[in-house]
Amino acid sequence: ELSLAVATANNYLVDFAGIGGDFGIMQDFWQRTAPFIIACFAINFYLIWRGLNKGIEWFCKWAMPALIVCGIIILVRVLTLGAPAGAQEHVIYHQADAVPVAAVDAEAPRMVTAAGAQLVPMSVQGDVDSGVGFMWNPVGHRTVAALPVDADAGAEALPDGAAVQTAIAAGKAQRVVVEVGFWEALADPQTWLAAAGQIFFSLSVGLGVIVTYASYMRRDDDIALSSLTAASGNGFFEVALGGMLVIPAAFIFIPVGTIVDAGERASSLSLGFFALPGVFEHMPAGHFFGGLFFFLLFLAAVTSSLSMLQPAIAFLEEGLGLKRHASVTILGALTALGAAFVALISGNLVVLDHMDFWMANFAIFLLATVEVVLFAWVIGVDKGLRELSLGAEIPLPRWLPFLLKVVTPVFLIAIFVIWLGQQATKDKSNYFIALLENSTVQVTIGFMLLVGIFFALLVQVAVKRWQALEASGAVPVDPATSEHVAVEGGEA
Amino acid sequence: MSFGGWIIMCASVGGMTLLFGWCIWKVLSTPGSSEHLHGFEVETPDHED
Repeated sequence: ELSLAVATANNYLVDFAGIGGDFGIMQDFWQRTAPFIIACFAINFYLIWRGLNKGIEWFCKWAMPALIVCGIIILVRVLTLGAPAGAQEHVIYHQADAVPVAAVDAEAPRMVTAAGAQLVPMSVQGDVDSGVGFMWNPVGHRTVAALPVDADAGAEALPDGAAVQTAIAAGKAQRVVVEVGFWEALADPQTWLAAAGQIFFSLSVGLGVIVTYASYMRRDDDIALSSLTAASGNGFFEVALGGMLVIPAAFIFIPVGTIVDAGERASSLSLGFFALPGVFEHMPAGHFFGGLFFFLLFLAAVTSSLSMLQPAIAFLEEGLGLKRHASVTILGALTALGAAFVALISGNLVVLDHMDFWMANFAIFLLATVEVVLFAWVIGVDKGLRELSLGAEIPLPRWLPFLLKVVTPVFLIAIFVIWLGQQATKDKSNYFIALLENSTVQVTIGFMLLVGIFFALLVQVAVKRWQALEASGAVPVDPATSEHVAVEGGEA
Repeated sequence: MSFGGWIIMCASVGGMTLLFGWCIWKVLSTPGSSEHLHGFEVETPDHED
């Protein structure tokens, strides 16, 4: 049973996003969803059209410290919740030989997996201690398909692996949450792929956004300390606030199977929207803090979406010579088309889930790997580090070149290859199998490919236009290096 | 929560908090380094120079 606030938030998000079925968003669309979508679009494109981003960056200079203060206040409330009304009672399974007999829950059935492993249930009360332990204890959790054992039938009646496989194929098996050991959890390449995808996404590496930020830096701006501050600030929000706040709160208020399933699909975004209303329900002025927290998160998201729109705007203006209103109109239309596709084909969030996986996990991982290889091996790590050290307020460690040249590329490529191998045997959340079997997923991938081809064609047009400008002498080129030379006192 | 959980939590949360705190202190204590606020203006700095 979910608490009233969590159930209300859950139902609202399901209706708001139309998760119940395709075109579900159209029900009460103009009253419920449209105002927020329109406001979000209007704010983003008005800011980027007017070039007012500096204003919002200034505003965020105050808003982001406010977000930290707000997060710490909510964190204090989470850590003092104890076992509130509406807290969940979880059943987590263990390998039969890994727990003492006395700890086994006699009420829940024992289970057998397709590999023939016997699992025994343990009950865990959803409270702060177990929630923080769920986040930080050196163990992992995953869901597996298993069959319940008939307690009265005796040991000889245990279903064997083949029987479980048949039951899974027939849809008769249950998915249960199993605790796995520290090393087994660490050895799962999905963990590393999701972690790398998360950190690349939140640091905007592999998206092209980092190129936007680089364009607005002066030659002697301090990149080293700025990027370390950005990375550590991101780590502080995710580890110190997110890890202490969202996951323990989720463990208190949400069934553990939902949490582990979200983690396995690397889309735990909705956990905060489900779990935090449960915290605000138990907080003085909970509506105020809830509203403030999500408003500040929205502001942080606006700065991110502006940085993602800006490279495309700059490309349309500089590559194709379009005026600001034309570039904003074209990009707005394209974004609206993509957003409408995700919003309308909304059943079970299949489209959003697969777009998120293929772009925000798969492609971002590949592109970040390409960026690292380009930086370390094509541009040259020494040349790159010379740029990095210009104006740097902190000394660069001696091991940085080795890290960038060897450790990072080898690590990323190894994780990717092992992960690809793992997909061959994975029965659940397998995005490759879904790509072969699910027509909605095929249309989604087709849509993303079409957008990619459209932009590739635009790049081709832009290159021809740029070459024509160079030939006409409008853009001076150094014949020795083929690079553009300084214009009117600016930098090359 | 197990003893190992406490160790990992303290190392992770403490490590990130210390690193972030040090970075903020370094930025604020270095003259001029805290006021390089760039928005996405139409002109990039190399055009403005």
